[in-house]
Amino acid sequence: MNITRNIYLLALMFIVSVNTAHAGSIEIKIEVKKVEVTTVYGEKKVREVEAKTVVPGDELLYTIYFKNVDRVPVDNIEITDPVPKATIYKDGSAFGSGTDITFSVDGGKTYARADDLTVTNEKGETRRAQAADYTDIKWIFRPKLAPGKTGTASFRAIVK
Amino acid sequence: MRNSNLPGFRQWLGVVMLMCASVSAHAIGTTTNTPVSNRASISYSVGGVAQTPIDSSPTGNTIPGAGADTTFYVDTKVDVNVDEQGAVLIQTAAGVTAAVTTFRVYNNSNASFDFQLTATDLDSGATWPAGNDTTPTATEALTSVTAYWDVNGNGTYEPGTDNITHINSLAVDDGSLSTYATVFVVASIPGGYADGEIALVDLSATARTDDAAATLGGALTETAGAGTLDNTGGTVADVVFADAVTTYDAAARDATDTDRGGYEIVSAQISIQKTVANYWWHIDGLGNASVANPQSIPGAYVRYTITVSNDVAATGSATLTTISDTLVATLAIDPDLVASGTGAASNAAGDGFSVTYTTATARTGAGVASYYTTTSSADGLDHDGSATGGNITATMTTLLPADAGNGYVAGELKPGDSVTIIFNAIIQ
Repeated sequence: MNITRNIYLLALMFIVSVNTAHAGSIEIKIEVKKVEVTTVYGEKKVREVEAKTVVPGDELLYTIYFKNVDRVPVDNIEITDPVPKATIYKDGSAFGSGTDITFSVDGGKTYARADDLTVTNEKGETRRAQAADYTDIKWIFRPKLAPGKTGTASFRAIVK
Repeated sequence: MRNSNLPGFRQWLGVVMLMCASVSAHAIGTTTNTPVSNRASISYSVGGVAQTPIDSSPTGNTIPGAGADTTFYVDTKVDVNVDEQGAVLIQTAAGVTAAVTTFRVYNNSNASFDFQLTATDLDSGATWPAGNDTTPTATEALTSVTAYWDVNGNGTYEPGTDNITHINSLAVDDGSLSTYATVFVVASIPGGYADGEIALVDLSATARTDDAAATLGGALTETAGAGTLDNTGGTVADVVFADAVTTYDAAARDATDTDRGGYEIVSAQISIQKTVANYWWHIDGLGNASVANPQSIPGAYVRYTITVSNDVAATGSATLTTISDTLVATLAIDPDLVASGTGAASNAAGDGFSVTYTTATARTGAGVASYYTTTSSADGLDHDGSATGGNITATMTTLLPADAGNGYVAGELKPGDSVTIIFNAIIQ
């Protein structure tokens, strides 16, 4: 009886382990907040709040948290994030301590620094890309990420 | 920062201003209830060995292939613009029962709405600039003022058709000003108004729920406080009133806009003068020799001149419709409008009438005589064909044609204009 039960338990564990993907070394999270400006006694106060009431024209702050949940350092970190549909990237807002930031205007196929990005229209005319043309953002995190440490990357976007 | 010294602090957080977007304030707004999702991807190495990339989630994800979107839903933004059309006072007359000013209502929200319409007669002291005119002042009250939605959208007030006093289901305008509802403010002008008096009206439009029916939907309520997180696909959006103060709308954030228009009382001063003079006689046997001092004897010609004038001191135009004249049986119309001396037709045989109009301002054809056949009914000036006597009918909208380039409608006499109809009659 014990052997039968053990075989049954072993089989169960096997099934469970086959269906469970292996967790990686990084936990990655995105939070979105709305930027709210209030006037108190004539003074403007700016703060980020939960994105509960959001209407066209509002500014959003997206923050990406990436945490090393492993026991060894992690390196060669690259994060890519599309500019959300129905929003426009806010020029100059991408940020990430220790990161090199590049942008894509072709849906993430290629990335370049903001100053080097161009857009070509149907007639073959080329102009410098503007924030409204950006489709994706890439952060290359230069240092290693030590175990237990969290890095952040962020950008702002305006709701169309 | 400690707030204990400011007991009323929380009340003062009531004025919430949304950050202005860097995009045009009139760009098309994302439709309410649209989900906006985002998911990032991270690639990395451990010990120099590339690992499987991991997608983000709202709460934090460590498992490749198990990422999830971070999502919020766009809420409802309410904004409206009312725009008076024409920017000048509408000229009308005392006693007119349906004097019309025209407005357009634009829905600048991100969802369609019904609109409540309110037309207000303004008290003395209200002002409305009309282009470069001096600012007029309302001086009297109108007897009725009602706003009607132009249901069939043809831009013309039609009392039988345009009888709904609110707007149903107005779609969003994308900033191109191509989507709007036309609204007529229809007023009854009391008989006691004098020339030059002015009456001003305001039209307000307030966004209301689009109830997808012919009725006016219920009032909208702005969401109090922070609103609701509806990341699970909620269908009830938060509501934000985003309308600003405008020239005639002192209250922001009430889902309402107001604009102003007005009327000016003007009147034409029409006079008609008919003169007759002995013109010419032709005595058989003397050929066509003219005889001085024509007498009123059988066979002699008399010339009738009918002049209609709008006095130069009048404040408004008149639109003439029909002039009728009856010849007595002792006269017969001269079918050819002969010229004295030659006895030949002034223009052509059968042309019994001439019409000339003179105008104080430029008008195509002014000062030039036009000739009309005696009996044709298509050219605007006819005799009824009786052998003697008979009726003459002049259709003035035909004889005074429209001249849009110079600002004339058909039949119009501006102050200082006159029109003269000439015909001959033969004494029987």
